[in-house]
Amino acid sequence: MKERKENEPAVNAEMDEKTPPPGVPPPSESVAELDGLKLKEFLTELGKTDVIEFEYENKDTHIVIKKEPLGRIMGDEIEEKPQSAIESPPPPPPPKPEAKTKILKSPAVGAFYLVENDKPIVSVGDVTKKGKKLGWVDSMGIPQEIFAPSDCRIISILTSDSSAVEWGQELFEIEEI
Amino acid sequence: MFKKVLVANRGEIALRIIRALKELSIKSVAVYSEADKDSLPVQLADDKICIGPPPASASYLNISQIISAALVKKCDAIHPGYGFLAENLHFAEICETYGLTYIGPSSEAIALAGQKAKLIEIVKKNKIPVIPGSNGVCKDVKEALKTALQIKFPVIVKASAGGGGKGMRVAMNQSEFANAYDVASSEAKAAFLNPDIYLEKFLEGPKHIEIQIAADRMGNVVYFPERDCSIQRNHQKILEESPSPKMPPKLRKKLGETACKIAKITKYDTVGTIEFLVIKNNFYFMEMNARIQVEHPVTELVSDIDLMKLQITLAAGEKLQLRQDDIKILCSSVECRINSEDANFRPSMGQITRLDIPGGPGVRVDTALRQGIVMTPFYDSMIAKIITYGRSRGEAIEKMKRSLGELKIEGVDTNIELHKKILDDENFRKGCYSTDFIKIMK
Repeated sequence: MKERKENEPAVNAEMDEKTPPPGVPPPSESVAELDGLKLKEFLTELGKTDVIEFEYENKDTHIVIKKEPLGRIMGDEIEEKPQSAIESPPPPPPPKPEAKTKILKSPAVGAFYLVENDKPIVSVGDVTKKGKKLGWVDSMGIPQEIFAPSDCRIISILTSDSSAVEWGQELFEIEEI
Repeated sequence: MFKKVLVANRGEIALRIIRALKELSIKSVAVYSEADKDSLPVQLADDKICIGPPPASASYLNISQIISAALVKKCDAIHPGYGFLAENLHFAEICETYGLTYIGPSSEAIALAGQKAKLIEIVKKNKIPVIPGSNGVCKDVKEALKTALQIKFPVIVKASAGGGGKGMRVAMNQSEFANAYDVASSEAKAAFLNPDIYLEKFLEGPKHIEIQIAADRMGNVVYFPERDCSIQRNHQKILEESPSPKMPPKLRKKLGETACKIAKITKYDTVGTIEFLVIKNNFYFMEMNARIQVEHPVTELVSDIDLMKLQITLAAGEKLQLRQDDIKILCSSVECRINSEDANFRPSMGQITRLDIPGGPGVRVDTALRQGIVMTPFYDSMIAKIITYGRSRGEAIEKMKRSLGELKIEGVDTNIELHKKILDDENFRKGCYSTDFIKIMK
């Protein structure tokens, strides 16, 4: 019986029943009984090992089992890679830091205001605290204020001061801090 | 005349208003919910504005969003269409407050039309026949039962603020009365925020006949040929025609003159409808609808007068140019309301995967439906109106049968087959039918 690990030169060796290949169940019964279900079981177990070639010869029985290296089993879809690469794939690239940007939309139809007492309430680049008023939509004379939902930086102001806005119109792009 | 009008509705009626505005060289602004952003009215209007999320309560019924939309878009008037905010007194009053013309009658007329029990009392005082019933709103179930026993069962329990078949229950006898009263009252409270109830004798087998009127602010009023709206399911109209088959000319004239009298009593202006129940040659006033109605196209075809444009010009304060003699019956017309609903009249949802619209001579289709759109549970199930006309009633019906054969809607269930069945019904063909037609149709 011969066994050979992938990437190792095939060597001929005498079958030692007491020392089966690693991972292969010891043939407690005669290997000659490798037929039917027992052969199937043996193959299953063999499949779990990294043994790629197995040969057995006994009287009238001669069995040769060869496993194809992984790359070829999968066809042309992947390149053959060294065993070590298959066993320990390269670590996934570190996840990109999740962009914590948010769009704040108009809660009502009306006129959008950004300026209070002749001064803009916020400007692009400003860092504000959660709950700070950023602007408001005047709907039939009733102001509907837009507040910072969290500590954030103003990335862009998407609608200009005193513009008519519709429901759901994008007003601010913010980055949560 | 108006320069820019906000169209505060959706679907086919929004499209109808936008078309009329274009012909009058008035700019249109379509309001829309998120669900309707790709709809035909939104695409065809001169301008558009999103007013809220899909539920009607947050968009098409949201008064502050709609008024605000009219203000920011610098409109001078708002057309409410039918349903939603049409006939909403509060809305009409707010429009006035903000200097926007509400395209409809005055607030006073809307208020009166909305208090059906009170209006019946006024009409009765003017010697116009009304259906025997309670004197105005019933105080409670006990008083209502007393009235029911006086006018004799069967009776119909109605919501004073009702409409569209809601808040309406028939009690055939005393044992059914308390339940009918409770159900109608709670339905009225839920639908109209007003649980007031009044009673009428339930007339078996009447015809539902309505008269379209048009009036200006100078007191000029005209009436149009009657519409027969007796084909109903669950008290909701599904097929209308004009003129009504077998209507004696004398009764037609009497109904028209009575409708004009009611319009004058209530100081009604723009266009509106007076509804009657008719049994043999007797008629009874039922209610007044202070809006343009779903079924207005049959009258437009029969008289060859554009009611939508007329409504807009009258709302702008123009004088009524029509005299009664100008209005004639020029043809016969039938309208089928196509609903996305199953055989039990339950709304059917889904995506429209196929849509073939009928055409050819004598066919008009009012719809905002397009292939690919999704029927949602947010809005009414009426998806199209097919209206046909011909030199005779028979010709209009044949054109309708052909049109329904050409109409293909796939992706949702529709009532097209029901309409075909109605058109083939012997009694319908003979013009012998009343409001119980669907119930007894074979």
